[in-house]
This record gives sequence, structure tokens and C-alpha cells, in this order.
Amino acid sequence: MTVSWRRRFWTPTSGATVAALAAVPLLLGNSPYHLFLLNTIAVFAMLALGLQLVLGYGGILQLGYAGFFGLGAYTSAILTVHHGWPFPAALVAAMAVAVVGALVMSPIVRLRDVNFAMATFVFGLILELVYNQWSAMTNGPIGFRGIPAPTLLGLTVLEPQHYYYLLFAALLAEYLLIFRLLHSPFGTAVRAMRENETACRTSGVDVTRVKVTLLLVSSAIAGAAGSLLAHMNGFISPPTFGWATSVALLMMVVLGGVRSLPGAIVGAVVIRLVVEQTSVLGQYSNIVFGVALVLLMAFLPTGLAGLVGRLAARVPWTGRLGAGSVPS
Amino acid sequence: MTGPVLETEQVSKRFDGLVAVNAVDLRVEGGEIRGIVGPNGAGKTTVFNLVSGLYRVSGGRIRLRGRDVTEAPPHVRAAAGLGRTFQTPQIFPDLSVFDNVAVGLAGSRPPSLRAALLGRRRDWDGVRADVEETLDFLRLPAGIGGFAATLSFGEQKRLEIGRALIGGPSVLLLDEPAAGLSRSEIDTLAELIRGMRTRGVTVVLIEHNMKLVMGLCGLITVLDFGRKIAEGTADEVRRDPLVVTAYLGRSGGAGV
Amino acid sequence: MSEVAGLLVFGLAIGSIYSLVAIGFSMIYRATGLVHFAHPDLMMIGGMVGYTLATRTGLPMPLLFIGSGLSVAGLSWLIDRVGLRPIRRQAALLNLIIATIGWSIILVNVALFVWGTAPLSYPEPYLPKGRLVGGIVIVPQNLVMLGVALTAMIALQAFFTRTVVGQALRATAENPVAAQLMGIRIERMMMLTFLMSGFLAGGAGVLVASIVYANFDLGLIGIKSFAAAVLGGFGQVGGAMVGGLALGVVETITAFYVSSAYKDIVAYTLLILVLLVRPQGLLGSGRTRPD
Repeated sequence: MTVSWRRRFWTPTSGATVAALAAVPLLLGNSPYHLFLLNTIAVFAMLALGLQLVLGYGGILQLGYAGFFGLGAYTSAILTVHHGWPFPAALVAAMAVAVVGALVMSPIVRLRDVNFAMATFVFGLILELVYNQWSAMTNGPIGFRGIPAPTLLGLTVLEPQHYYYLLFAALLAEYLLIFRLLHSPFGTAVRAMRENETACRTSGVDVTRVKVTLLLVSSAIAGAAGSLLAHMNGFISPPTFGWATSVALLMMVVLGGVRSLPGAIVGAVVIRLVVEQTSVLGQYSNIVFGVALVLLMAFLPTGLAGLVGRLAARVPWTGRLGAGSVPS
Repeated sequence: MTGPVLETEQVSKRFDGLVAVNAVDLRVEGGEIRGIVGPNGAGKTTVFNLVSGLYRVSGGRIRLRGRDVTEAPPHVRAAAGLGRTFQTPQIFPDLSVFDNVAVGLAGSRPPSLRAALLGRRRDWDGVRADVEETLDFLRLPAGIGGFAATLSFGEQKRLEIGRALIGGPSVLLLDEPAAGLSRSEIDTLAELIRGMRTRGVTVVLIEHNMKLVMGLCGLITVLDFGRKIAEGTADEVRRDPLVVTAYLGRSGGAGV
Repeated sequence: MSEVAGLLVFGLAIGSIYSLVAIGFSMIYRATGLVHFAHPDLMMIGGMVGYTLATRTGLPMPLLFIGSGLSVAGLSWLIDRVGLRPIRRQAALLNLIIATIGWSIILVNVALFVWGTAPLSYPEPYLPKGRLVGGIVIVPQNLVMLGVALTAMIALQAFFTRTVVGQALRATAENPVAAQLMGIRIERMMMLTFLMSGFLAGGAGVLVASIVYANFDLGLIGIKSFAAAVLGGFGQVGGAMVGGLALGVVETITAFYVSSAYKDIVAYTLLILVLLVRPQGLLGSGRTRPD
């Protein structure tokens, strides 16, 4: 009998996975390129999880997610560089600004699916334009440099390996938080809402409030990720926070499989690696990318998680795969 | 409790010129089992949609235990004590049976984010007991697991009632609860409805199954073309010439 | 005074381009429920094809319009037939959106590949010769654009209300099941929708490209047409017209009186504000939830 409220995160599988992920930097040795890639993937994994929450579980078509990523990044950068704020405070502020941005947009939640999707899309465009045009604050297209490495508890995180652990901690915290959220009564309401909104409304669920809450939470996550990215690279520029990134994030969620937390992370890894590799293919890379997208949607609509699920169903002894995958 | 538990005052609904519900007055007292009948297209489900807040009224007021809820959204009305089921069971197919019922508590215990992030155990206190008790009351087997989609049609209908019931509503709107059920399931349903009344829930049901309605309901309201054409006990209604005309004059009306 | 009039004309002209693309966009949405992110890029392809036709054949403008329109119509239909319909059957809105994004990427890169990166100007005879009015070049071409676009829109309106096919198309968009029961061939209607919207986009592309330039980037202008469609009320063809014209005027006035750099932000912000106040768009049907 499935009694959802007693689901636990820590199982042998999940424990092993976490341990393995913690050990990755050791395997990569000292290659700065690989460590950089790993850290970038970690940041995008954070984003993918956040988007999975609002889009995959909430069914909210957030097409401008990268914009909130940018809000966090620029807020953190501006506060530390121009106003000398310490990193932890800047991180919190980054999240706060992202949340405020989402609040501004939140009345749109009342809209029908498509209008809402278009509104989030346009909002993302607005933010990208603001990052480009408001040079006084953001330094415009040239980008914002000189962002200091974060200092926590007196220690400055300079080494990429150490940065990985910072990101890893953040990612783990985020995962646990989302997991816990989805397994609470609130989470039940979220999942129910995705299946049948009308039934939820007449059962007393304030659908609008739930959607707005999801929007705010996911934006806070994006803001945090933005701050972490800014301090990791020391430099940020508008294209990172525009439509192309929003698209990549959407793909991570869809590739991984909607409503699968591990899937979102796997999606992030795959897409990020693909993005790195396709520059190798040169001219044809983007067309291949586009074609791959279409084919993916045609043949693998439930994503990798769906694929794994179907395969697991055929092989009886694989049992429940993946710690933390919420059944539906 | 003084005053009616559910009251609609001159409630109307217009859809782009088509009048679906026309100045309907309804006063349901506490403890009643009220039947709402009428030929197909009479506007019965529309009235339910207006009462539960899925449609906005074009005119008139709606009161729940004396409180005016005409402008209130559906979830507020649910929290104020209104439960509702639908003609086709609106359940959550991919959620567990437990979760399906648990959602019904959302009105009385709004799920909060803070509780979700902080106090997991406390959040679920008592929920399990309530859910099990409700499932029990509805004769849904104790060991019932799996997704709601795997339940039989009759079980799904009871599941939906369970979700509506667990929040402790004052009024329960049942839209054609007997549709698609077998004889024995209908008998069980009648028992359940009587049991609900004993627990203090006022029941209003839309039904085409006249035998059920006549046997169960104290008062019956008859609608036709969006208007209330008769109201009274089973006997009174059965003999009302307007009612007879309404049913006989239409093809496909359920026999009185 | 003539300054304002000139701005207005320019704004309406640009707006009419947005309208043409927005109409196609809305038509597709109405018929299939699909948000077609590759639609603006179809406009771009229209501009590019127009360029090739202009340089190779030297055909007069109206024929360029038609030629591009037809090619893009075919392309639009092909993309749906090959790349979208298989997905349309089973999938969620999100998957469809992503598939159209995929097509958008494909179209942009094909354009890059075939026509290169450099912006291409239409040859001399097509170039607008205009007068400078308060910093904006007002060209007779603007009036032509406006004229063409308005004609197209009026023709469309007549098509939808007067002809049998047009009404069948509307019926299909409104209620596919009922339409099918009445004997309307749904797939035919879908095909017609994609063809027509493609034609409009292609023609619009020629109009724009002849004034600005032909470049793979042109889709960005087309993105404004999304905003136009939403502004007017998504799915309403009339709304798309109004939204496009309104957007064009607002944008032009902002560019002139405030700053060219901020014109996009203002336009988009206006859209968001309108949506907040009137969620269904200016002309949209008054329901935010299925009533």
C-alpha cells in the first residue's frame, strides 16, 4: 500500500548515488577544464530541478526561467562588487530579488495555459533586454566582471574542487527540500492539481495560491543558482540569461522526463555536455541540435525517465529505480 | 442551526444569450436529503456549477449557512462547508487512493509551504486516521492500494464522494451519483446517503433514477428549461401536472 | 504635425507586418492549440526567398510577395506534415512547443547556411526612397506595406465570414468534433490553416526585408508578433490585427520620443500590463477559465 507520507529519501540507492557524486572531483583530478564543466553542470542541475518543480510537477509553463537566473546573478554581482556586501548576504538578496520578480509576474497565473506561457516568455525577453540595455547597473552586453569569489565563514572558496562542494551542498539541500515538499500535503495538492484542477478547486485547494507558491519557490532557486554562478565565474553577461538558456533548461526537464527529479539532473548533465560538444561539430551542430529536438519530442515524449520506467517494467527485478522519484 | 443550510435566491445564468438557469430559488434546510430532478438539459448541473462556484452567476445570490458566497471562488466555498461530486467522477487517476481522499482536507487544513518545509510529521497528523475512517465509511476495502485509475467505476464514484466528505462539509452536492451503478451498488449508495444524514451532512442530489429519488428524498425540486416548475414531497411532485407534461412532452425523459 | 502623422504611418506599417504574422500565429493556435515558435522564422525565410527572387528574377514587388508567400506556405505545411503532426497526436503542449522551437533552430540555421551571415539588402529597384521626417525615414513603401497588409486583412475577414471554406475553417477551430460531424474534413482545414498562415508570413517577410534587410536574424522581429497576438487576444484573428497595429504604433512612438534602445522593453512591458489588467487580451473572449 502506497502511503505517500512515509516516503523516505535515504535508501541504499540514493545514499550510494550521493556518495558517488561527492567523489567525482577526485576522479577528475586537476583538470581545470573538466572541473569547470562539472561545476557548470552542477549549477544547471540546480536550475533544472527548480524548473522541474514548477513546470513538471506544477504544470506551469514557465518559458522565461533564465531571466530569474539572471536576476540572482546580477543582484549578487552588483551587491558584492559595488556595495561590498558579503557573499552570504548577497546570496540571500539574490534569492529575494528573484522572488520579487516572480511576485510581480504572479497575477498572470490566472491566465489560461497559453496566454500564461506567452506571458512568461515575454517576461523572459524583457529581463534579457534589461540586462542588455541597463548598462548603468549591469554593464550591458560587455558583461560584468570582477565578481569576487565567495567567502563563507572566513574561508574564501577559490579552488574549483572546493567550489564543487559548495555547489554540491546547495544542490543536495535543494533536492531534499523539493523532495520533502512533494511528499507533504502541499505536494499532494500540487500533484493533484496537475491531474484535475477543477476537482482540486471544489475540494478546497486554492489553486492560484499553490501555483504562485511554486513560481516563487522556483524563482528563489533560480536566484540562488545565479548568485552561485556569478561568484564561480567572476564574470557574467546577458546571453547566459536569455531565451537560448531558457530553451536549454526546458529541454533538460523534458529530456529527463517530466515529473522526475533524478531525470532533471540527468537531463542537465546530458544537455550541458551536448552543448559543449556541439561546438565541435561546427557549422552543422545547431541544425543537428534542432533536428534532435524534433525527433526527441516525436519519439521520446516521456523523456529518459519514461524510457527507464518502461524498460524497468520489462525487467522484473530492477524494482523501484532511483531514490526520490515520486510515483507520478 | 437556524436558517437554511443552502440557499439560492433568484439565481440565473446566461451564456451569450442562452438562459440556462432562470431565477431559481432554492432553500435547503439542515438534515434534508433534497432531490433535484428534471428532463435532460433542464439546467440541473448548471445550478450545481453555480452553487459550487465553477460558474459565475448572471444574477441572484447564493448563501451557504447564511453566508453570502456569490462572489467567492470554489475553494473558499469548499472550505465553508460545501462538498461536490460530478456526473463523471473527477478523481486523480495517477494518485493513490489515499491521496485522492486526502486532497479533500485541503479546505479545512490548507496545505502550507511552511509546514511542508518544516514540520513534516506534524503536517500529516490525523490525516491518516481521517482518510482511513472515510474509506471505511464508504465501504472501500481496507487494503486498497494502487492508483485510483485501477478502481472500478463504482469504486471511483465512492472515492470521489470520500474526497468530498472528508472535509466535513455541511452540504454535499451529488451529481447523478447512481448513474452507471449496478442495483446492489445503488442500494449501498442509498444506505451511504442516509448514513451521511445521520452524521449531520445535508445532501442535495441530482438524479434521473426516480425510484432512488422517491425513496430517499424528503423534498424534491423539479427543474425544466432552467426554471423551477415544482417543489414538494415525492407524492406531490409525482402528481403535479406541470411535472408530468415536462417529462412526457420530451423524448428521452426518465419515466416518473 | 506631419511628424506625428509620419510616425503614425510608420508605426502602422510596422504594425501591419506584426499583424500579418500574428494573424497566422493566431490561426494556427485556434486550429490546433499549438504555439508555433517557428512561425516568425517562416517570416524570415520569406524575406530571404524574396531576396533571392529579387536578385535572380527581378520580378515586381507584388509578385515577390506572392512568390515568397507561396513558398513559405508550402514550407509551413511541410513542417507540420513531417515534423509536427506526428507529435500533435499524442503530446502535451510543452512537447509541441519544444518541437516548434526545434524547427525554429533548424530554419535559422538553414538560412545561415544558404544565405550566410551577412545582412543582405534588396537590390536597387526595390529599395525604398523616402524622406526623412524627424529622424525616421518615411517611405512610400510604408504606405504600400500598410496598404498591402490592410488589403490582406480585409480579404481574410471576408474569407472567414463570406466564403464556405472560410466558415468551415472557423468552425473547425471552434469545435473540431462538431465540425467533423458536419462533414468538414479536419485535416484539410488544418492544411489550409498552415498554408494560409505560411503565405501571410512569407509575404510579410518580403515587406520587411525590402525595407530593412534580409538576414537570418529577422525572426527576432517576428517575435514581436507573438506579443501582438497575445496583446490582441490570443486566438482571435481580429485581435491579432489590432494587437499588431497597436504594438507597431507604441513601439515607433517610444523609439522616437524616448529611446530606440528601450522601445522593445516598453512594448513588452505594455503587453504584460495589459495582460494583468485584462488577462484575455484586448479583444479576447471574456473568460480566463473555461466557463
